[in-house]
Amino acid sequence: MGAYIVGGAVAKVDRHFDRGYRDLAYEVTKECSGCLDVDYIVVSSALPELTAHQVDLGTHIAQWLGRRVPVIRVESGETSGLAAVDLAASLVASGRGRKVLVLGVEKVTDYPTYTANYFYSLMLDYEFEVLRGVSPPAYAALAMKELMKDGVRRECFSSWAVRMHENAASIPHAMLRFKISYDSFKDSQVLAEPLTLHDSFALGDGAAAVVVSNSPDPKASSVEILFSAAEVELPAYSRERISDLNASSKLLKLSLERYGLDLRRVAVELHDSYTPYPIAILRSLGYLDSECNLSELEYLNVSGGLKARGHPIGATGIYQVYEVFKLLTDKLGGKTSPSDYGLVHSMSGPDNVSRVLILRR
Amino acid sequence: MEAGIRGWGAYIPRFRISATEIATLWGYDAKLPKALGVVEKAVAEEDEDAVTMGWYAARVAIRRAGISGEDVDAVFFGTESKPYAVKPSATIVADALGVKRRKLSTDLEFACRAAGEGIRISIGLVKGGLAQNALVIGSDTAQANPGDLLDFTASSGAAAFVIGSPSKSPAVIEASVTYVTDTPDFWRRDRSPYPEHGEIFTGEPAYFHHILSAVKLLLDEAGLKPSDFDYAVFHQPNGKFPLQVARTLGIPQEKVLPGLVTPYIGNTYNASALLGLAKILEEAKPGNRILVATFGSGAGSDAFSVVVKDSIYEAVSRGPKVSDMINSRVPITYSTYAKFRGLYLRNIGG
Amino acid sequence: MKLSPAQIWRIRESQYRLVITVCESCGKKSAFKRSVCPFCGSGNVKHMESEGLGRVLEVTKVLYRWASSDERPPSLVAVVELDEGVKVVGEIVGVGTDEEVKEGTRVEAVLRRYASDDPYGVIYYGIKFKPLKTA
Repeated sequence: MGAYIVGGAVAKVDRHFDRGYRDLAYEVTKECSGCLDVDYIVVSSALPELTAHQVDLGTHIAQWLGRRVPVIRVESGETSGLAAVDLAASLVASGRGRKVLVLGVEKVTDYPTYTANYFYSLMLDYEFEVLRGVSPPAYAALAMKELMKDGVRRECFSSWAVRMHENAASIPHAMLRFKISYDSFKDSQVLAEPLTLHDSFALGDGAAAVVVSNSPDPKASSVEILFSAAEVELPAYSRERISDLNASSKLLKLSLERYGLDLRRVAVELHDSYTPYPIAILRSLGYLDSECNLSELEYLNVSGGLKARGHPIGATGIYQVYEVFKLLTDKLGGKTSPSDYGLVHSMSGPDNVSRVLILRR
Repeated sequence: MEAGIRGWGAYIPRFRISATEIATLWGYDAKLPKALGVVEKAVAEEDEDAVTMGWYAARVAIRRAGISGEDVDAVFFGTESKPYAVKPSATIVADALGVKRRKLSTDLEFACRAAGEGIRISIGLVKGGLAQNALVIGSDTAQANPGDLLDFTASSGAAAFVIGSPSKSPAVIEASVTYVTDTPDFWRRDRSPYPEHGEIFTGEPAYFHHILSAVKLLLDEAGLKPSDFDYAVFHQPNGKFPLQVARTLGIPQEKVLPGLVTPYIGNTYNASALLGLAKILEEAKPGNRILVATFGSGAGSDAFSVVVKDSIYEAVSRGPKVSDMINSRVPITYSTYAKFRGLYLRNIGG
Repeated sequence: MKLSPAQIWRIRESQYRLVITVCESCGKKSAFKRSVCPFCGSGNVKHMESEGLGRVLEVTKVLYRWASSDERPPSLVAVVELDEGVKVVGEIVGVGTDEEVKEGTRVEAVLRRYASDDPYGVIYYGIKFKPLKTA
C-alpha cells in the first residue's frame, strides 16, 4: 500500500477534567517525536460537537498546535480511529501527503454520565432507534440473551471482562488497572438485563497519535499498513439475530484467510464495547467453543481492550493501532508479538459498520 | 332517526390505585371510599396521555364501524387534559389513523361533556350531509389536587364513537337534546395544574339540575317515558350520583348498574358516560333502548335516546370489550401512582 | 428546544402508523418507510401499514440512564416480529409488575409518547407494544 506507521504516543485514558480537546492533543503530540513534523493532519473524533460545542475540531486543533497544514476531521462513530488511519494511508499512498499525523482525541467526561450515555447512544439511528427508546446496552443485552440461548454461559461473558482487567493491569495508559473477579458481577449495576456495568467499556477521555508516512523510518522501527477494509451491515433490527455481527465476522475472516493468520498467534485488538460482542465474533470465527477458553488467545487485547484500557470513542481506534504497533516494534504489557502481523478491528454500535486494519512489522 | 352509532371503542389503562390507599395516605376516614361509591381508579402510565388513549379508542371505533380512516370526514376531540394548551389533539389522532386531510377537526372543551357536544355536532353534520362519518373522542387523564376529594375519583380513560348513517349502524340515536347554562361548579384556571370546585355546590345546582333538565326535555320532545328505557347511563363523577339521578327519574337501579363503571375505574371525565354507553352496547340486545346523559361542569348536559339494532352482536365482536378492559387490572401503590402521574416535583428539561 | 418540530413531523408516518417497506425486487420486508430496500439495495419498493400485531422474540429490562427526553427506567425493550414477517425493536408497555414478557408473548401496537421536550417543546408520539390481553 505504501504507507507506514513510524511513531506514536498515547495519553492515559482517564477523566481529564483539567484538559480539553486541544490540551489533550498538545500533550500527546508533545510525547511523540516527529508527531508535529508533518505536512497533513487527520483528526479522529466522534463527539466534539456535542461535548465541547465545537464544529471543525480538526482546524481548531491545527491552529492550537501551530501547524497550519491541511487538516481533515474524520468521524465514523466508534470506528472513527480506523477510518482516520485509512484516510491517512490513502493520503500518503496517493502522494497527497508525505507524513500524516493521525490524532485521535475525545472528551466525554465534562458532562454527567447520563448525558455522556446519551451522546454515545447517538451512534444508533436517532429517528428509528434512539427516539424509540432503543439504547446500545439494550442491543448488547439482547445479543447476550441470544447467545445464552445458544448455550453460552454467563461466566463466558464475565471471563472476557476478567481477562481484560488482568491485561490492563500492566498497561500504564489504561483507565482501569485493577483486577476483577467473577464475583464482581454479582453486585454489578445492571444496565439492561442481563448486561451489567462490568460487561461494558470504560468511558474516559483520551488522546492518541500515530504518524503515517510514505516510507519507513530509517532510524526507528516502523510498521507497514498492509490492508484496510470496511463494511456496513444491516440495521440490527433487520437481521436474523442482533448478535449476527456479520460485517465484523466477514472482514475478520477475510483478513485472516488472506494472510494465512491464526488469531492465537498474532497481535490483535478486537473491539469489545460490550462483552457479548467479542464473544459472538470469536465464536463465529471458530476460536471459542462452549468451554469459552480464552487462554490460547494470548495476544488478543493485550491492552485490556475497550473494557479496561478504556474507550474514548473517537480516539479508541488510534489507541488500538498504537498498541499493535508497540507489540510489533517493541513491547506492550511485557509482551511482544510472536508474528510479524498485527490486526486491528473496530465496529460502531452493534456492528453497524466494521473496519479492519492489518499491519506488518 | 337522527344519526347512527356506526362504531364505538374504548381504552382503559390497566393500572389501578385503590381508594383505600388514597384515604389512608391523606388521612381520610377509611369508610369514605364506600360513601363515594368508588373502589379503585384507572391510572395512565407516564408515556400515556389523552392523545394516546383517544387514539386507541378511536381505532377500535373505526374498525367496529367497518370503515377506514379515509372514510372519516370529521374528528372531534373532547378533553380537559389537552397535552398542548394550543395545538389540537384531534389532528394527531387523525393523522395516526390515516384520516383524510379534507375534514373538519377541532378539540372541544366543556369540562366532562365536550365529547357529548361533539356527538351532538356530529349528528348535525351527518343529517346536514356535511359528513358521512364523524369521529368523536372523549379522553382524559383527569387531574386532581393530591389529597383533595377528587383524588379518589379523577382517573384516565377514553371512549370514541363513529357517528354516521343510521342505516349502516348497529345502534341509532333516535333523539337528543342539550341543556346549557353558566354555572361555576368546577373549573381550572389557565396555569393551574389542578381544578377547583364548589364541593356540595357541584351537586344539586350543577350535576342534578342539568341532567334532569336535559332528560326532561328529551322525554318531552321525543314523547318518551323513563319506563321506555332498558338501560340508563349518566355521567358518573362517583358511584352514587348516577343512582340518585335514576331514583329521581324513577328508573330502577338494575338498569343503571351495567353502565356504572366509575366504582372500578374512577371518573374518566370526558369518557365517563360514554364508557358506560360503550359497555352497555356490548351487553344489550336488539331493540333495547338506552338513555344516556352526559354532564360537564360550567355547566351543561346532553341527553340521548339510543336504540340497539339487529347488527349489534356483529359489531361487538369486532373489537375489545370494556368489561375485559375493566378486568385486566394491575394494582399499584400510591408511590407508583405519583410517579406515573407526575406528582413528584422534579427538575425537567435538563 | 431539544426536539425539532420539523424532524418529528417529517417522520411521523413511520412512527404513528408502523409503516413497512416491501421490496418488489427481492420480496423482503423491512421496518419503517424507506426509499431503498436495505437488503438488496433496490429502489423498487412499496409501503404498507402493519396490522400492529406480533410476538416478542427477545426482551430485556433496561435500567440504563441516558437522559433521553422521556427517560423513565426501567423500560422493556424487545425485538418484536410482526405478523407480516418484519422485525422491529421497540418498547413494551402496560406490563404489570408480576407479569412476564418473554419469547412468544403476543403484543399489539399502541400509540404512546416517545419523547417530550418539556416544559415548552413538542411532544413526539409513536408506536410501542403492549401485551395483547383481549381478543
